[in-house]
Amino acid sequence: MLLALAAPVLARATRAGCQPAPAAGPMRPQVLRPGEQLRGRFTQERRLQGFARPLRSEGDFLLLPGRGLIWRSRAPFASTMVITPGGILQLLDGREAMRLPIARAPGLGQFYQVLAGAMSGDPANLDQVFAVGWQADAGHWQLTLTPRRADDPALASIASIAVSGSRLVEAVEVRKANGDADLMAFHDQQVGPAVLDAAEQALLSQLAP
Amino acid sequence: MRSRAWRWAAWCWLALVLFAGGYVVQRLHAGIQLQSSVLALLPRGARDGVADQAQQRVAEAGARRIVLLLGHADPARARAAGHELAAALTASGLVRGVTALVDGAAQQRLGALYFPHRAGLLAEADRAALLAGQAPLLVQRAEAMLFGPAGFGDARLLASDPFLLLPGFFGALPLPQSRLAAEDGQLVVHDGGMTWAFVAAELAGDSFALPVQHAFAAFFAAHLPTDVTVLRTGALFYATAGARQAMGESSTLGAVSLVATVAMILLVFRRIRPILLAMLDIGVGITFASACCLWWFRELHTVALLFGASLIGVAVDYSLQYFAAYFDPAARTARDRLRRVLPGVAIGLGTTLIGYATLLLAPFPGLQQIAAFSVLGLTGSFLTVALWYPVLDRAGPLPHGGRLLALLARHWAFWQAPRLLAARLGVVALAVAAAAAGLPRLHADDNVQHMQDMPADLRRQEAEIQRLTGNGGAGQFLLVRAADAESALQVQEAVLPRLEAAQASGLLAGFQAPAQFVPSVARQRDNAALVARTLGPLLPGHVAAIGLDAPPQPAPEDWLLPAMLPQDGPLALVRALVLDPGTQLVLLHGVADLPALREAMRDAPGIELVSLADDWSALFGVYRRQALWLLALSVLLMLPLLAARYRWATPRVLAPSLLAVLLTPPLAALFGLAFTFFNAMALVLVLSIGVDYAVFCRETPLERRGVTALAILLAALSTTLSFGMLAASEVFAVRAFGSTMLIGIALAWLLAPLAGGKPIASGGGCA
Repeated sequence: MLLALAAPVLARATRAGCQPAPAAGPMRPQVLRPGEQLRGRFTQERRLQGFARPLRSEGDFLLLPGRGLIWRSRAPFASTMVITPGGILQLLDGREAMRLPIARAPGLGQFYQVLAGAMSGDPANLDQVFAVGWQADAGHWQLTLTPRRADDPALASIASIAVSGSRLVEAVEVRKANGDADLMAFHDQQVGPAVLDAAEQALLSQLAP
Repeated sequence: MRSRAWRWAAWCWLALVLFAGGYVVQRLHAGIQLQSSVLALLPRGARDGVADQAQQRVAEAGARRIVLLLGHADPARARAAGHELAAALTASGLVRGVTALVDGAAQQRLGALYFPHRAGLLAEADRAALLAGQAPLLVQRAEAMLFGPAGFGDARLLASDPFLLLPGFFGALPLPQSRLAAEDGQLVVHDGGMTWAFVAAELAGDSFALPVQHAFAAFFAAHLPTDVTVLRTGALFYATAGARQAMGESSTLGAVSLVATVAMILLVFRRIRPILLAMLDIGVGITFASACCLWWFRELHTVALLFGASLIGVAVDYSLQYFAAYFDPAARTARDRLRRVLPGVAIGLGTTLIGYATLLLAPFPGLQQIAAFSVLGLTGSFLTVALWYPVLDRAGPLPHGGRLLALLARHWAFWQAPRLLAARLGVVALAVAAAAAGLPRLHADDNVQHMQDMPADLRRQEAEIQRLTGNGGAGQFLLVRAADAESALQVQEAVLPRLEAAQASGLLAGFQAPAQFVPSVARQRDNAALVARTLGPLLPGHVAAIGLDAPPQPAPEDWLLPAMLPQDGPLALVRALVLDPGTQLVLLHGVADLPALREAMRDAPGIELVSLADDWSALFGVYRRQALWLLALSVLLMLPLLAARYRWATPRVLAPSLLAVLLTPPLAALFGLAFTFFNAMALVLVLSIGVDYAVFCRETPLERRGVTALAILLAALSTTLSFGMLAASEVFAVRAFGSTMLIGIALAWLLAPLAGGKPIASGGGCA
């Protein structure tokens, strides 16, 4: 699931192109550079075995290459999750509810490393961990990631990850080995120079390594 | 002299010396164990057994650990360097375990260990929240985690842990290295533009064993990449630097001392014979002392070797007394010379042995070796002079010393001529005034961190590693004592809130207690009951909110016990903290304010705050005062010997050395030198050597004053050349010892003629 978050960025990184696709040729994702930010809205649906109905949530997110991700759920209730190189932090009603240093969660560590590698435009690490499949036409592209090593504990539960989009990532689908699936859709996305408000600054600095 | 008995004794001594020489050669051939451990020098047996054992366990565990950070601006390069070093260390066989990689499998084992016992495991913060009636907050947190992007949980996990309390417990475990991040499987920390790869290892051998040090020196020379910045810390590196310094210094200082002494003898006597005899004398003394110490202690400490090398300076004193008699025209043969100096030398040896023997009483193993080495070496030198010189030396008196003797006789005359009384008083007044000026600056220093005198560069690296990793040195801990494991854990649980409050107010950076990893059974029962009471009623609503099909099964009441923790992996530390079931340690990290922390821990039942450095400092204070008692004791021990020979003149014989002993500390304070245990020990030697000089003077008749004045000048110079040289040492303890010797010996020499000469007739001194 964590890796799915990396995917939007990975997808852009694997095809180095920072401008909207030219009219001719296959569509390519935009690469986010350090100092830039990506803001947008998300909807997420978790389809878990043994649950009566899918778990749906929605909200907005802020992604800063090399610094971290702020994931704010608005519905069904408000909560904030911050993921940085230092660890993971969860807030409820503005109060810290959980904190996990990154050394305690190697999967998270790997997630952040892949994220950072992708941000730097270097898909080498991705190739080591996943078999990468790529399909694109003039207006759309799709990336399929399959873990190379079944014995990697951080990835053991993941069967495959599909990432798709046009200029930016629009959908991520993570399929688990046990039949669970997580579906995320992104919209209203904006790329620009990083401009954080004081609350966002504070959130990130709480997890500074 | 009874010639036959003398000859027989000389032959016996030769046989013994040859035997000792053979033994030393044999041991050298087999490879002598040189000990360089600081711990071996530290006092032992002063604390009660359990605290001592705890101290030793912590010190030993720390002594085996090394930590390296490999820094590079390019994160990939730093990670690769870390990977390579960790692999090379593992392959080398020099270490038992390497921590550099985050092992996903180890994390899974951790989960597998705790999972069956989840019923009683609660993070301290969650427990506090439940106790405060904030159960709904924990429900909301679990739902947020389930709905959130990190994708916690599936039906199986939620069925066994519906409120996701076990992940909370994991997150709160105070595992080491929590400031480090895992990238590409390698533990790293980012700082400024640098990425540092973390590599820690547990040594397979003893940090203080020279072969281990050599093996690691060779390993690092071969395997540390040159393009990365390396920070390192660990007892291994300190011990290596210390041993190298001690060996380098002992050979340098020893050589300088030897060369200068030889040059001095050549210059004065203009003959090669005194050199040969002196070298024989010193050689025999050192061989005899080495053989006996190696036989008795089985090993030699490098500090004993360092001081032992300086023994040359005192051992040569007896020879110098004898050589000075070359300038006595009345002493025509070796036997005449020996007859003249033997009484003084014998009494001198007696008082010096008393001085060294009190060192033997000091509870420092290293000092005991030094004392034994010196006592044996001096006895050997004395026997060589007394038994062999009459046989080996066939020379007559030397003619060229007249002017030198006349010159030196003035040193004596200065203290005896009636017309120089004012000058004498002036000199004494000056010395006393200088000492009085130094008195306000005189202060004791018992801080063991000053004594150990670690190389500044290594200390800087250690501080930098502590800053980067957030792991402080474990020199401070709580010692928990209780009847059994369960009570020990309960004692900790009672004190953990105090520690958390102390941490929150900045008294310390962190702590690790076994009870954080394994709560007491009582606490686990209480946790399970608390969860059932507060979260139980919320379960149906929670299950309905997330839409879980099958209702969660209650977790089994299967309590976790300390004995279930594995010996290796991330929890090895906890096993190390449990000395025996009822005796456990709580490690304290980054203690910023020890007195305040002590105050915060006061009255905590079953808990004792132990600070290695502070406890050792306190001990150094105790031993400094004890050394001063030893000093008084050695004066008392000398009294019968001196009184038997000098009767009412005994105070005069003691006066020069006592004055030297009293004036030296304040004079040293003038130069900003503190008074430590080692200075006190040096005063013991100043006393015995000072008494020697006074005795030599007292044993000298009027007409031989120049000869004795020459002998004590040469003796003082040679002692200064050896012990005084130690004032230039880089090792604090050795430097403190040396500077005291330098000042004390100078005073003892200057004042020695105060003892007066041999009475001419029935009464009165030479004055």
